[in-house]
Amino acid sequence: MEFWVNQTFNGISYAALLFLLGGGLTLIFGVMKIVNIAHGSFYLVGGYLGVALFAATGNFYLALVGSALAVAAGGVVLERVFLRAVEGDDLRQMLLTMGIALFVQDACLLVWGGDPFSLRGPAYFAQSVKLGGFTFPILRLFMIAAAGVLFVVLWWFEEKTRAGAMVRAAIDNAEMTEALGINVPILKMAVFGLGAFLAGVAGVVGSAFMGIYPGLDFEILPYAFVVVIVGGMGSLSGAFVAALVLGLLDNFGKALFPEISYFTLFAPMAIVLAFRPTGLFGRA
Amino acid sequence: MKKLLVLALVALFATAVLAPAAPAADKPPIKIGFIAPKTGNFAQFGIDMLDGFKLYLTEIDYMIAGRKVELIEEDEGATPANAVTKARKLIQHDKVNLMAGLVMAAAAYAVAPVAQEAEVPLVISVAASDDLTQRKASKYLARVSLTGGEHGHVAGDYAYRKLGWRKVSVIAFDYGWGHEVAGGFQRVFEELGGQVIQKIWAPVNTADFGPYVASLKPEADGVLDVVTGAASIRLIGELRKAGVLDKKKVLAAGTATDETLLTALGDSALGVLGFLSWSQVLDTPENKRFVQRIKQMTKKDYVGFSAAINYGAAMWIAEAIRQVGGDVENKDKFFQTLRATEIKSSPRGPIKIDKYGHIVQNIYIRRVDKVGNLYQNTVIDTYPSVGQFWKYNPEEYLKQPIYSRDNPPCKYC
Repeated sequence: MEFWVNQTFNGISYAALLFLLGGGLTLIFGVMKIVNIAHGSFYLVGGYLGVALFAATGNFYLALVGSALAVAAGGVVLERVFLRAVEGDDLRQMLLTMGIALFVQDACLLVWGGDPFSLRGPAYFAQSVKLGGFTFPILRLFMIAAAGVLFVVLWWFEEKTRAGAMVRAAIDNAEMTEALGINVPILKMAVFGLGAFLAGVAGVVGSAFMGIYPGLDFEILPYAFVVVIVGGMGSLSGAFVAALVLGLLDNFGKALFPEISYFTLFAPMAIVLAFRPTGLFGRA
Repeated sequence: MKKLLVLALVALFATAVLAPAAPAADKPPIKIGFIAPKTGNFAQFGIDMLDGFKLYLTEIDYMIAGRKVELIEEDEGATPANAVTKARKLIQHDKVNLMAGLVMAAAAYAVAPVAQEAEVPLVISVAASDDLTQRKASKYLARVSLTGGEHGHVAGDYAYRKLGWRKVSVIAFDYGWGHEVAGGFQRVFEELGGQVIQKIWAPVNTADFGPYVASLKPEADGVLDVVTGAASIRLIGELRKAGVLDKKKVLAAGTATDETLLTALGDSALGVLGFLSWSQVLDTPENKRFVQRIKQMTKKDYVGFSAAINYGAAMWIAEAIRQVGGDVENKDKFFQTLRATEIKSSPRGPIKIDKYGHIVQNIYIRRVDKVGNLYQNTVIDTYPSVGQFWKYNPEEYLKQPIYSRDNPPCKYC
């Protein structure tokens, strides 16, 4: 019993991290139709800024919001200055994000050096809640809460607000949306910023959970891609469901059959791709 | 006549004094090529290595046996092919007298034959893979870092005899270092009568150790942790949060609690035991002096293991050059002398080289403590002069296959 409760809880909290990683990427892909290789860099910068802001202010939530906003601002600038310049050319846009990623990697090494950091966070992050004989680390509870809240807010935004309707329209048919008098370039910039914001949040939460160090940007990228591909590119609900399924599969796979650790995350992706090439919630 | 005699005497005296130095001063500088990562994920490692190596050269003013030393730095990069290209460049273009450095085992295996072919001594100062100085030992290679196997042997002995462990869970990275430390540990531990009851091989890109930690067998007396780098922060953090560290001891392979990780590990690592051939707080005059000097240079509170062992590597190379009177052009004599050179007082203690080219050194048992505001690896026990073959006969040892995922097999899992 203890095993199943612990592992399920672990799996859900890992799923929360996966959702934070993949959510922003799927948003950006949906509207802009580009694979943002620099997503990991947003994560990395978010994490480092989070560590620096936490060290300066001692307030984790301030560090979280401040860092995510800074990354979002950076994302908006990148979109406006660089990506806009090669608008309409998917391949060049993707290569551009690759270049940005390499640049950011070395810039971070220059600024923060190569020793790993860990974001300590408030003291209770190191503690656990004991409930009916089970132990739940608070940091993992926080990850679940953060991912849950962000999902609900984003879902509400996309489904229930006028701006969200515009985003959905742009995902389905950008040209038609523009013909209706909606400013799609501004929309794209905003969505790119939002995606970067989510990556920044993931970076701060992630550096409390996994630490932050050079190379992590490209290390987390496959995880973000798995979530996006399984969930269906551009679908927020898809990313949420995919993160949950993958988190649990990965966790139980590793706990029950440690010798197949390498496949627990990527085998489901291959299976989904074989039977539903557009992902669980994707549209062709 | 008398004047002439005095003049002749003075001249004779002068030549007698100046003679040994004169030819050396005319010789071109001794060139040392240093290959270490300067970009990518291991960049900090490379920076630390060079800091240590250069600190010693600075102390001796880049002069050995009357000859100037020229250090040529090359970036190891992320692939063995790149390291080979850099080694060829150092040999053919720069005509170096010796190469040092190398972090990745794969790069070391790839560069060794290149050095052998050119008959240029190669001093490996980090890469730890056992076979570099065992089944694949090569004539022109010497290693002054460590091996996984030798560290595992010590840990197995310590766990059984001093910690009184009888049943152990092992959680190790699924690559050479993990296999070799865990394999060495298991061999010694089980020969003494202990049992390894669980072996978990975690992929090197493991993001969440939660599932592994939750499945550690409760009946084990302790946990052997062979996870390195930033992942160590995750594993030890998880062991702490899941309450494992409150119930049992964790014995971590050296670099898992490297000084450069201590800040990030924080309180979660307090009490974690480890084993490594150095500690920043090792209480010897040489080490204290070294730590003080390198802190002045780097302006950091913590000094990495790779800086310390590379300082030692530079000391050892310089001593060998001194013993051949700076005549590094006589390759055979230089290399024989390199292998025969002993340093009595390097920062990590006395060092010498065995006949397979690997270092013989002390291995220290350490415990993570907090003293004032700083964390440290307190030395609580010492295994003096440990070689790569432990107490086994080298010839017989080498007949066995290298430690791997399934060797030794897990009989009690």
